[in-house]
Amino acid sequence: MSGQKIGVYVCHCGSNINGVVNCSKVAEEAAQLDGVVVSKDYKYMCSDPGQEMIKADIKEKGLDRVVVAACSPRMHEPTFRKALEGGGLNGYLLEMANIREHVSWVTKDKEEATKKALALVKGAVNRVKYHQPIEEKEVPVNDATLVIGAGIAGIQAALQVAEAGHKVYLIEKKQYIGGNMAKFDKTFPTLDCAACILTPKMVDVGQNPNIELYTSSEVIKVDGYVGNFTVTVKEKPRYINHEKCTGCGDCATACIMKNRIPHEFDEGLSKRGAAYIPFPQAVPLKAVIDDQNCLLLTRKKCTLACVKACGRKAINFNQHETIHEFNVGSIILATGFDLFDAKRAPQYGYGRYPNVINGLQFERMTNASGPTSGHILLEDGTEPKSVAIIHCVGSRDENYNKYCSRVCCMSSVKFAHMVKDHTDAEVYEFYIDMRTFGKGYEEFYNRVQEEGVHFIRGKGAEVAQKNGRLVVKAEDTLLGQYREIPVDLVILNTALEPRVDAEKVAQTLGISRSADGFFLESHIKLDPVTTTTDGIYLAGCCQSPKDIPDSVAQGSAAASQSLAIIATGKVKISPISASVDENQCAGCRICVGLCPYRAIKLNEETLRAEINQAVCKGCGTCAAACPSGAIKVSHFDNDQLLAQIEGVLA
Amino acid sequence: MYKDFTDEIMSYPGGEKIMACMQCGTCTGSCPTSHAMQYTPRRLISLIRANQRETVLKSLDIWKCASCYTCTARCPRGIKFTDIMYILKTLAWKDQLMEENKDITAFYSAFQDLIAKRGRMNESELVLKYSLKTNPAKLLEFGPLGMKMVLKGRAAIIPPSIRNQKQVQKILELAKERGGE
Amino acid sequence: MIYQYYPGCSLHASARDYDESVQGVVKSLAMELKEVPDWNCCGATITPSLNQLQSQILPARNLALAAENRGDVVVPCNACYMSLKKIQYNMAKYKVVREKVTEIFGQAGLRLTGMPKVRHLLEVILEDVGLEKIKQMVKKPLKDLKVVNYSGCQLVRPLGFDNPEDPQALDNLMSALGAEVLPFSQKTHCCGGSLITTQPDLAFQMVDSILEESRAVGADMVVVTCPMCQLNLDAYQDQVNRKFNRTLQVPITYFTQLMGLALGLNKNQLGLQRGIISPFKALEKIG
Repeated sequence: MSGQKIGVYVCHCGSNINGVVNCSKVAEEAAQLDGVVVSKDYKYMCSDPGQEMIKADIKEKGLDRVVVAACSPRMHEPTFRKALEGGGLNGYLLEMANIREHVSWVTKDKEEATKKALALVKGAVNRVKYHQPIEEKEVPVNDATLVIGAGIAGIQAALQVAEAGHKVYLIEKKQYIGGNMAKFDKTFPTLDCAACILTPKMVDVGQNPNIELYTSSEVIKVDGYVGNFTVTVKEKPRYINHEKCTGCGDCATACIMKNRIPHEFDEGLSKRGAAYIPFPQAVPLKAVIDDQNCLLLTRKKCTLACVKACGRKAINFNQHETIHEFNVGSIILATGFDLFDAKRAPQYGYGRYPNVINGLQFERMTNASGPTSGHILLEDGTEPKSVAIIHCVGSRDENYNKYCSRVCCMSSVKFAHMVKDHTDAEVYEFYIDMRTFGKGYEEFYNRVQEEGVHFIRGKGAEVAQKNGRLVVKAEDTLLGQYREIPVDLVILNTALEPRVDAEKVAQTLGISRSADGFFLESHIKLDPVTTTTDGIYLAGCCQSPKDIPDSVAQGSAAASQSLAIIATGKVKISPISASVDENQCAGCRICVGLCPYRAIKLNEETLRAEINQAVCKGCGTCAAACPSGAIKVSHFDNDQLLAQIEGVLA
Repeated sequence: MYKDFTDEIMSYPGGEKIMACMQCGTCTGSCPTSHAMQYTPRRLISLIRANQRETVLKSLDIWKCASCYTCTARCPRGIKFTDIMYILKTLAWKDQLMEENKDITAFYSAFQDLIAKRGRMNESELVLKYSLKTNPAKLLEFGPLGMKMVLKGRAAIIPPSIRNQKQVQKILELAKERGGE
Repeated sequence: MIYQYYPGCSLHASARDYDESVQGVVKSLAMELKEVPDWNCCGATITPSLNQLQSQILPARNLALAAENRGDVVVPCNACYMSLKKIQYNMAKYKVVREKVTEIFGQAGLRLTGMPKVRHLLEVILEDVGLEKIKQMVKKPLKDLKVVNYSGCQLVRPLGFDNPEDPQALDNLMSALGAEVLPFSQKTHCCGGSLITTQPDLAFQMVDSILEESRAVGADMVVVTCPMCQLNLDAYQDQVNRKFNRTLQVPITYFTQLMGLALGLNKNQLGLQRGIISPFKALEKIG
């Protein structure tokens, strides 16, 4: 390993690193290391002049290896690889030492920090000596896109990709599209009706020839990698022939279970039968048979009133689950949110007092096609004279979710307006902080204040019943007094939470979740749409709670990411992967079971492990576990790692 | 020794999260006695953070805490306000800052004296001591109830005691010597 | 199973009825309770109001005594249960508490040789015996008896074993014994605790809300797990009635008393005659 010419570049990252680590000292000492011919420190290595410095040194001083001591390689390893390539070196002859996240950001002790930074640099210098040039592979991109979830974010993304002329497979778990937005009545801050703006888009989805829509369907398996995913989708039987069904509803009228099952779409405020039409504007507008409640399907015993009523003979109880397989180049995940179950906070009386409801139930109540035909009514059918709206139920609360759900302040203000608009009731809003930050939002808040709504600064602490009437207990913090406010109806504005099956979805797609449970984006500020897995993008509330404008914006952003790789036509994939030395492999199969990407198989003839290079992501799990040391991961081989450890400990 | 009152509160177990309070008033709204307080729990936190030590420790509001822990269970920021109430009471007691209230002083000291004397509590003796320390006429108030309790066999006539009472006395004294901190 | 019993001061005086019924019930359940030798008062809510360190050291001594013997510490009183659990929590969490307790112990000839598990009697009965077994053991179901279950505060907060807002343990037990459990929003609302002596106006209002709701929902009695709750709701009921112009006569029974009845024990073994508001009329329902 002698005769190598290594350049070391220590980045200050402004004061991010240099505020704690003595960068010039690190550079000075690194200059003394064996093989190092250039050692410099600079304010921002990732800047243009920083990169130019590396390129110039490669050319002028004949460097053949480069170490950059800076931030985590996550963001800037590609930057510096490009710089090396610009200077004429293979990008993999670079090693980064992370002296920001691993050093300056985790200590205040300047002396120890400088020592550790130097140790990491020594490790990197030792390691880079063993680096070999690696050529990146380029693969063609399949120009179809998979969109999972057909709420407003998924619809937006699907339409945009389809309108650009590319194939979209749109997968929706429910029997209809539109997601939560389809349940809303009015939308803030303009109060246009949700259906008026959403329905045309839903119809477009149904009619766009580039979109293949699969409702009642779930993605059960994803194989492959960016540009070339193979997706397996399970479609549940609907027991309805879609070609024949006109959505007339005769089956629903005939069903002997009619008006006996709480209707999900109305959040339990109305009842339906086992055969039903989800809602009048549903896309697809086809009948649904609920296999959990249909007497024929559950007990094999029914008068078959629905079959008799259907003039088009569209009902078919012999339908089975169907499995579909699609090849796509990218995947957009838009699975939305679940609403916090207010029963988890029993102090609010949800589920105990009939006139305590959640926000979605209120949306259904005010919706003209909802269970009360748009009237705000108490359980006994009368109009409330006094209504409380409680913010932050399940949000901003260590006991449930620490995060702010972002939409509830504005939807609460909207609810208040709706009550004022529909009834003569007094309205009391209990809030901690009013967060009305969007375009036109503060103006809307102002308008509703002037409509006479009582805004009480204090979190509603408890809902009780006193003398037959509900009371909200809270502190009016601006008054500094405990108050009990009697009301007839309480609306709990509950948190937006990750879907209950988010972990399963994350595992199926091989993506990560953040501490709050939502899917994790690549970079919270600069890359909020891509996941840490290339080719998989996020849109809408599955990434974090957001309102309609933001969901739509992110849907469009995800679509443009998909369109970008389609336009390029090919993608580079990481060349770092594992390989098996057949002479050393004992065929024990330990690696087969451990591989998180199912890339390893046992060759039945040779009885040796075999790794599918296209699927392998180079995570190294197999190499670490292999008892005979037969598996090697390129760019992470034993010589490199041992040299690095020796360097750090030197 | 302490930078300010907040610093002092934070030095005790249970007081450390006081800076996280967002003044939402969940504590007050959940408190069964806040309706009778001049300074509500949320306001007490504000007063502590504004370094108004004397105002807080003088106030009898802190002695209205029933130790039900509802504020603690519900606080969205994980503040153990019941523990903070205890801290405030101990400081008021130690520095003798609390506003004069014979009932409170007499009851708490009678209880504490009894533990030191016998190692265990006994309600009859507690009520007797308490009444004598405040207003012997109180015995008339407690009288009928006391009689009922005696008749139902629910009053210990012979005060309880423990074998190693000296040890209990010693640990209480040692704790007191250390300023109770 | 062998357990160490920490009865707490009340069970030797105002809550003798609780102690009597505990003894009866555990015998039926084949649980062996051995009293923690020479235990002292836990300090309840009073000592922590006067002296932080004393409030740590008092319950800590009990744990040190219990650590000498085998078995979990079983506590029937909510306040004692919380005091003992809290010192455990504080010693685990705060080094300063650990050090001070150890230092004082050293001077007083005490040593904490282990950390016994502290459990409420209700918890032990539900977890170690279990509802299924209890159901099988019921000889006289509490049929037709309408109860509301009042867990109080310190059984469930801040370190309890059940949901702090809507505890289920007592409901499950009473249903298993055959009683009709009525919905009760006051389950974990405070009885006023020791404020009943120093600031009766505050506490009476709290007692009244509990009793009044029990009446409104039609309960025959209120079931409790704590001697302090029992005392406030039972012994002060007349005074509360006078203050709020009511005529309530709601018996307040310990869960062990009803459990004893259901297991076929004799009324007189269970201290039922000691209630200031007699439960006997209400109990006629179950014969």
